[in-house]
Amino acid sequence: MPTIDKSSTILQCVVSYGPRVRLAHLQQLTNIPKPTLHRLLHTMIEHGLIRQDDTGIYSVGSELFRLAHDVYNQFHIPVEARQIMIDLQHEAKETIHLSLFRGGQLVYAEKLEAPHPFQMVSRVGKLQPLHSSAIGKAVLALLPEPEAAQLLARSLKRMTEFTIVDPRTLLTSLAAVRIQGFAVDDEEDEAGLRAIGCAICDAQGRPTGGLSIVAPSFQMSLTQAYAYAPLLVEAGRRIAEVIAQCEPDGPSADASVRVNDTG
Amino acid sequence: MDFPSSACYSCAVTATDKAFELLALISAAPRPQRLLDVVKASGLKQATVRRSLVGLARQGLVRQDARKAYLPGLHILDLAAVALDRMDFAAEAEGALRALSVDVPGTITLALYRDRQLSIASTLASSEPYRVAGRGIESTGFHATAAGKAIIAHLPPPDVGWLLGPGPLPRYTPHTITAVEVLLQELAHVAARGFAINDQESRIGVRCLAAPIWNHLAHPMGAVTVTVAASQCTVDELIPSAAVVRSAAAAISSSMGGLPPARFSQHNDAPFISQNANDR
Repeated sequence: MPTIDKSSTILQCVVSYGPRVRLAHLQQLTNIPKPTLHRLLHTMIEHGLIRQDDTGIYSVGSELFRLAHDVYNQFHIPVEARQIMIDLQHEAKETIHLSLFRGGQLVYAEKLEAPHPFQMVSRVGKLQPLHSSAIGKAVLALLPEPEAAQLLARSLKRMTEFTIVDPRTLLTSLAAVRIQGFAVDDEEDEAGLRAIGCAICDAQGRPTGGLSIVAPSFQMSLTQAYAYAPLLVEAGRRIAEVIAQCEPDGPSADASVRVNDTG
Repeated sequence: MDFPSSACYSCAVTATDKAFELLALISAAPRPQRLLDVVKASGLKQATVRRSLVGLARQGLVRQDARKAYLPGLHILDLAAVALDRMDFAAEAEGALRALSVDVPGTITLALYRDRQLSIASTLASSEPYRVAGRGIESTGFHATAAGKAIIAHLPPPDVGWLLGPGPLPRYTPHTITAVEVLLQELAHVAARGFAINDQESRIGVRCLAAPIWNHLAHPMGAVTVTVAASQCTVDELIPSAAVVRSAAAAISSSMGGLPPARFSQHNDAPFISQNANDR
């Protein structure tokens, strides 16, 4: 495994098993020999990505947050979008997400918590799977088919028993999504959660993100989710408008496919 | 610590070292960087830079835009979000809160803002022989606590209306601000001076002063509050502690990668003008 992949795996483990992780645990998780592990950690400590306390335990370093700040600063979501989400929540009293589609990945960019006790664990900055989320499917449906196929051309993770993991089945189902203008995630992304999502497009009609309403399945029936569709699609259209006004060049100037390995 | 000095070791370390250097360079650049920009800025060989960037891209740590120029990748944002989710805030803040408790007489609390409510992450009794228990922050409106005001003063305007509703706001004491318009003026004041005061607005006999803490997205994510007995401390006597409360809040923010925003919104609404520009 190339060194950068090893380092990235280590960083991922410190994050996912944190806040404090011991060397022995990291060794167990990564299977990287201790001397190598130790040296790679040392390099990341020098770069501030990881820190080590007096007792030798590792945790995330502030450089990771600083870099994340820079990534977040690539997004320019106008404050009006937030108001549109709030207006939507007046009608659909559930959690509302605004996600952005960049470099072939989908990331939560805004979240409006539900006005009831059932809060989603989603956080701004977390990545969302394309194949199992409502926004992901709505975005895929509006991409040129070869591009959607390329994004799905890897093993699709089974998030729940209802996740569509066969790329061809998923691609076929996107035709209906395209026609109706929204997608439904019926417990496909997380067991017990249901969502309806639409894509947000730039002036050229290319999807740059999406908007969704999500709730526990007991809170939002499939019928109820479909009933929210017109409001959701209208809110998505309004957000597309305010984003277009805010950055006329738009995020359309963005490669959807990640850099490939052949370099 | 012993570092075996095999050739393989040094070459492996150099490779990641360079990759992280390039990542920092791309991240710090004001605009997406083309391959040749990165080569030039790093002084490394093109083949080395290309190999490192391909590795970083494979891990989602950098990505390319339509012009094939490099930006920091979305995976970093995901890592930071997960790290913050798992963070032990009480442990992170302990040092700063302890230092603060030496400087100010009063009960010190760290409150976190999440899921549209405030919750206490840790409480530190003062050097006084008693602890001042205000009205429970979880069950008190944002308009009537110092922490709540310190936070909403820095939220975008739509969120303030969303959290408060149209008013009138619930009254807890004769000092509670119940009119939304009056509160908005107060919030402008809070934003301008970087701290909020609760002058017996949630409970008679209790005064508080709070300063916001920020996350890495430059959003307010909590507050540090000092709570005192009103009979022992007037508002005028409380205000001088603002400086140390603010610096404790700033220290906690920065230990978690947080930083105050350069500007709070693109709007010129008076309540949301940044007062923190000078703090950076």
